[in-house]
This record gives sequence, structure tokens and C-alpha cells, in this order.
Amino acid sequence: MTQWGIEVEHLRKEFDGKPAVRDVSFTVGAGTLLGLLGPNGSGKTTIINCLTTVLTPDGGRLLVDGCDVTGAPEQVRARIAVTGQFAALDEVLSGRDNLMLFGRLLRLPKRQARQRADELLDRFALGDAADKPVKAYSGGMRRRLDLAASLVVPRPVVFLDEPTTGLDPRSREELWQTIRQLRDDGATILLTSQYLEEVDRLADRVVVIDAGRVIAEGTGDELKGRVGGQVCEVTVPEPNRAAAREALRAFSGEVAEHGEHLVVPVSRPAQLVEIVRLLDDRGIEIDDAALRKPTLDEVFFALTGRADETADGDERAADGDAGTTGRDGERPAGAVPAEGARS
Amino acid sequence: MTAAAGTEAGLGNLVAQGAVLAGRNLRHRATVEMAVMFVVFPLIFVFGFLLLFGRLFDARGLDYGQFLPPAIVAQWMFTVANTSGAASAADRASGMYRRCLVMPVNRGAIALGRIASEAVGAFVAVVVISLTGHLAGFRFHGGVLAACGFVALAVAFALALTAGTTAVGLSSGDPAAVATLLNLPYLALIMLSTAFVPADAFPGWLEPVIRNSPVSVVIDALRSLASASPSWVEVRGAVVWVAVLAVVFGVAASRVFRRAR
Ligand SMILES: Nc1ncnc2c1ncn2[C@@H]1O[C@H](COP(=O)(O)OP(=O)(O)OP(=O)(O)O)[C@@H](O)[C@H]1O
Ligand SMILES: [Mg+2]
Repeated sequence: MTQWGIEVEHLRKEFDGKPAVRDVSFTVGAGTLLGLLGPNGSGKTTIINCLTTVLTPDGGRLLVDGCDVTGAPEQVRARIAVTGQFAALDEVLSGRDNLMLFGRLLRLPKRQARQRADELLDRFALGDAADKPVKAYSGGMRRRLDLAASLVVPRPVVFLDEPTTGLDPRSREELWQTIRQLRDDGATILLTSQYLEEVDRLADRVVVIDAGRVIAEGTGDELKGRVGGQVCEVTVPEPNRAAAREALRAFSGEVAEHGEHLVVPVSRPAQLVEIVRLLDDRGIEIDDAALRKPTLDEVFFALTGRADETADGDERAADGDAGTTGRDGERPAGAVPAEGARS
Repeated sequence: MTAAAGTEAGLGNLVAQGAVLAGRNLRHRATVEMAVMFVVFPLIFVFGFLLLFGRLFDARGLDYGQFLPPAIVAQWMFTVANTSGAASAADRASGMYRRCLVMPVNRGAIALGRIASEAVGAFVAVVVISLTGHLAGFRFHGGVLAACGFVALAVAFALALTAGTTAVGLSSGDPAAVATLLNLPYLALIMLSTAFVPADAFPGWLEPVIRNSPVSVVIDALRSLASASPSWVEVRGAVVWVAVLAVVFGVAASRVFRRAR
């Protein structure tokens, strides 16, 4: 067994000349869980697709459980379990028949495939729906079955692309439990998410990407430390907002404006009092001031120095070169020769 | 925690996984709608057309009961191929295709599974239509070997068409659009052929086109194989056409297959 479950070195992938992943590097220690955090269109699924042999990378070196993804894709496929962003199931067959089908495809004898299917149906609380066709499943049931389908035969490396999107809080909690169990059983897991909370709860380490680049890397606590762990949200009625903004700027360089709210990262709860006092001293009237946990938007704001207003990945990818310089995403010279020539 | 992982390489996987996928494809065909489509429709076609045109052609000295079933067979080979193309599109839409791609599933097994299941589907359709035709007076006059040739040619025709519809289905991924799109060439080719009327029923200038269209050539060869004196020349022409279609569509399908995700 190698030290790394997954190694990504200078991965590049573009679609029709538009870069989707631009020089991404990270490693996932064997038996650990890495959370890949990023907004819509940042390249999470593309990275997973490259690692799982679905897409051919345009550059870089990818190793999964020590096997080269482009050089030995069959070796990689024999070592991975993949749950994609969208369920990949046979809609006509029942849940049990789906699991048996995948078991049989993985060369389990019929009886064993059936036994394994029943085990998984039980574990994912799908026993009651086992014989219903998948097209009659709810979104949450479908996601659970999809995860079960990728676990028919245990694999050393597991890819989970936004596994809890669309689940209710209880199902989400249950799925988190299952994912932790997988990790405790020794699997290396790469999990993508748009939720800071999710990677915070599950991941040993977190890689944050934006517009196809790594912009931060570390443990959940380290990342939150960079945003101050908490933010102070100050609600200011209109005539005073510019003045308040100016005042807060003295407090922290990173003031975000969301409608009538101004948001500042804080490192100690006591700073709430300091902020209120500061505004009061300057005679700026406010409606409200409160501490709360940073949202993903704010993590991004703190990390990139700009608000994540555009949900459109293409747009951000297009202006990414000029506008953003990831603090951690400094790209090694010469790693992406094609990039400058293209734009 | 993990047993030594077996890769997808090897003939054993090709055959075993191909068989599993073929079985799965056939289960999709074993639905009520499909059963209706594959059994009831051919019956309606054979007897419907016979009722409509039988006496008309009798008057012209043509045995329509012998003339019609090979055309229904060819028509149904199109149906096998078209439903298969839509099924490939559905597999892309549902993500089923993609899941096979990330699993250690032999790449050839995906194609083999389709070929095997459509061969079975085509075979069943030919048998059903031949039996139905029997009730309407259709007979294999040329002996067992010619009858086997009849079945083999029909199935080969269906598989060649399936390669083409698979290329369309896999590149589109939208089953409803694929089903609609594939109906156009199917209807045009069947209408402009000797399926339901002899070639001399068409205007003179169109006749050579009708006679040499692949559908006419295959149907005429099927008729020949069911006749008392099968013509080797006609059968050879059909075999050449089917081979050409198989190569052209096969190349297109494997190209799409390598790119589709
Ligand atoms: N097949 C494709 N063809 C063209 N462009 C693509 C394709 N797949 C992804 N892209 C583009 O690549 C970029 C990254 O997409 P990707 O799906 O990897 O993002 P993501 O982080 O998974 O987003 P989401 O959170 O919405 O799932 C986007 O700009 C997207 O438009
Ligand atoms: Mg995605």
C-alpha cells in the first residue's frame, strides 16, 4: 500500500478550449477523507471524472491507489467505487435487481450477489422499496441506492460527488454516518461538496477550488481560522451604509456587502462589542449586529478577495486569469505552457 | 479491507459481463408494452395488410400471403434497431452507461451485450412473424437450410441497423428525440421499397432506385429464401448490402462509443 490513496499533480482539463481545471495538485493520504470544496462550475466533477477514467486529462499526472490513471485505467477501475453527482441506475429494474446487476457485473456468483444486495438494502434502509422499480423512488432513496450500488464490492478508494445534495437533514446525517464508517473501515475517500459544514464534519483535510484552481488547502479549522472562525453581520439602513463600511474597513480589510448587510470576519466573539462601540463612537446608526458562522460565500470571499456573486462557472472561468490570484494556488512556472498561449 | 481487485481484461470477463448485460437489456424488452409491440403489432400488420390488399393482389395473380411476411420481418428488424437506439440513449440519460464506464466492465462486453440482446429480440420477432404468416398461408418452400438462411439474414440485417441506431442513441442521450428521429429514415426506406408493393408499381424513373435500395434487396432476398427455388444471386446482393451497412455503421458506432460519456 502506498502512502497516498490519491495523487493529483498539475491536472489540466479543458472543454472546447475553455479551461475547466487549470493546474490542480493535491494528495489524499491513504485511509483519509479529503473534502473538495467549491462553488458551481469550479471543476469538482471534472476532477472526479478525470480520476475515475471517464475523461482523459489534457495534462498532469494522476495516481489512484498507486496506479496511473491514464497509463493503467483498468487497474484504476478495479480499485475504485464511484458515486456520481447524479444517480446512475437502471430506472426500469427494482432496487434489488440493480444491486444484483452490479454484483453480477463485478463477477459475484448469483447467490452472493443476492446476499450482498439484501445486506446493502438493509443498511441503506431500502428494504421496503427493494422490489419497486427505481423510477418510483424518491430523490433521497435514489441517492442512497446509488451509493449502495457503488459499494457492492468494497474498494480501497471511494469517490463521492456531492453525495448529500437533495437529501433531507435526517438522511444527510445518516449518510454522513455511512461515509464515516467507510473511512473507519480503511477506505481513502474523495468527497466533493458545496457545503462548508459537510466537509467540516467529515473531512480530515479540505481543498478549496474556484474557477478550476486550488485556492486554499488545510484542515477545516485552519480554513475557518482564515475567515476568523466567525463573522459579524451588521445591518445598516441606507444613508449610513457607506460610512459604516468605511469604519469597518479600519477593523478588517475584508468587508463584504450583501444588500443591507455588511459582513466582517472576526477572530474573537468580543470583537462584536468592539464593532458596535466603534460604530457608535462615530455616530453611525445600525439596525442590528450579530455573530454567525461564515457561509461558503464568505469563505470564498475571504480566500479570493471577491464575493462569489456569479453562479456561472463559465463567466468566472473566463475572467479568472485576470481577476483572481489564489493565495495558495500559485502555479509552478512552466507547469501549464498551453494556458498563456490560449488566452 | 479489499480483496485483490480483478480487472476487466480477458475473454472471461467479455463473455460473462456481456451475458449479464444482454440479460439486463432483454429484461427491458420483457415489459408489457414491449411484448405488445413485438407480438401483437406483427399480427395486426400481417392480417391487416392481407385484409386490405390480399384480394387486390390475388386478382393480379400475386400470392400476397407469401409476399407480405418477409416485408413485415424487415419492418420489424427496423423496430428492433430503433428501440435499441432509444435504449442506448436512455442508458446515457440515466447514467447507467457511465456507471459501466467507471466499473471494471470490459468495454467489449457493453457492445456484446447489446449485440446479443438485439439478436435475441430480432430472432423472436422473426419467429413470431413467420408463425403468424403461416396462418395466412406463408410457407418456407425452399427447405430447412433456406429457412435458416432467412432467419440469419433477417437477424444480420437487424444487427447492422442496430449499429447505426446505437451510434445515434449514444451520441444523443435523449431517448424520445432518438425514437422520433429514427422513425424518419425507417418510414422513408420502407415506403420507398418493395416491402408492400412490387417494384413495377412505382413510376418508371423511380424503379431502379426502389429495386436497389438496401431494404428492397434484403426483402427480395428474404422472399427468395422462402420460395421454392432460392436465388443465390439475390441472396448474395443482400449479404453484400448488410455487410456494407454493418461496416459503415459499425465504424460510426465504435467512434461514438469511444467518445460518449
Ligand atoms: N462536458 C462538458 N462540456 C463542456 N463544458 C463542460 C463539460 N463539463 C463541464 N464543463 C464546464 O467545466 C466547468 C467545470 O464544471 P464541473 O462540472 O467540473 O463543475 P462542478 O464544480 O462539478 O460544478 P457543480 O457544483 O455545479 O457540480 C464548468 O464551467 C462547466 O461549464
Ligand atoms: Mg459537479
